[in-house]
Amino acid sequence: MNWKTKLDERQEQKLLKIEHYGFWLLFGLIFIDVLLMPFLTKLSSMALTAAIFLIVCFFMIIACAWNGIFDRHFKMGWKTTLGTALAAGIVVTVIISIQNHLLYNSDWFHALMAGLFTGIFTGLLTGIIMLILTASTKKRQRTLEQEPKDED
Amino acid sequence: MKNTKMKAQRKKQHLSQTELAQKANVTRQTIGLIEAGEFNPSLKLCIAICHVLNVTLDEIFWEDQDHELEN
Repeated sequence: MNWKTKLDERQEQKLLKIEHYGFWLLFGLIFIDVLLMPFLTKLSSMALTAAIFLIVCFFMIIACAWNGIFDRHFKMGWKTTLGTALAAGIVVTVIISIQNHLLYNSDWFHALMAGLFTGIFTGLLTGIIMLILTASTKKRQRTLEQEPKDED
Repeated sequence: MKNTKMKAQRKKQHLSQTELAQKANVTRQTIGLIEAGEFNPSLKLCIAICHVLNVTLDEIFWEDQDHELEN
């Protein structure tokens, strides 16, 4: 795999700035999460942590798409979309299968079938989100790459 | 500080921002921001732009002290 950056130096600087803001947003929210933890039930605490993770993910995705940046190393396209969907599907299948086997004492076959069901839907959902993200980033890039009106 | 010298040189060679960007291997927005004085390019990128425009660094990136003070 070629790990050379796909961004030019201005985009690289912009991405570093977005990552900087993303880090401090995560830091602040995790700090609030830690302060609130003694007052929350285990389930609420887990939900809050998951919500913080999703807020930061959402912020990073929107900020990158708005600046026409997709990724430092991966190129937009069906290969990345398919690869991400497959990776998400496989990871969820493995985790859910092991969880089913250990927590609910299912035999491996049934644990794997249940895991596969969840994994396939996770993969499909990831693929759809990636397609939407790719389309919106491409649209934004087209807008940003338009020549200014005084430039003929 | 706007880089009018670079813009003038680009126009002189009948190049659009997109064409210059493609030749210098950057995005159109990057060229636009350099010309608008909102992005300071690295020496590597300055040299790449100079190669495309067939000029020296001094010709488009050097500012006289008097000119700098005016801006």
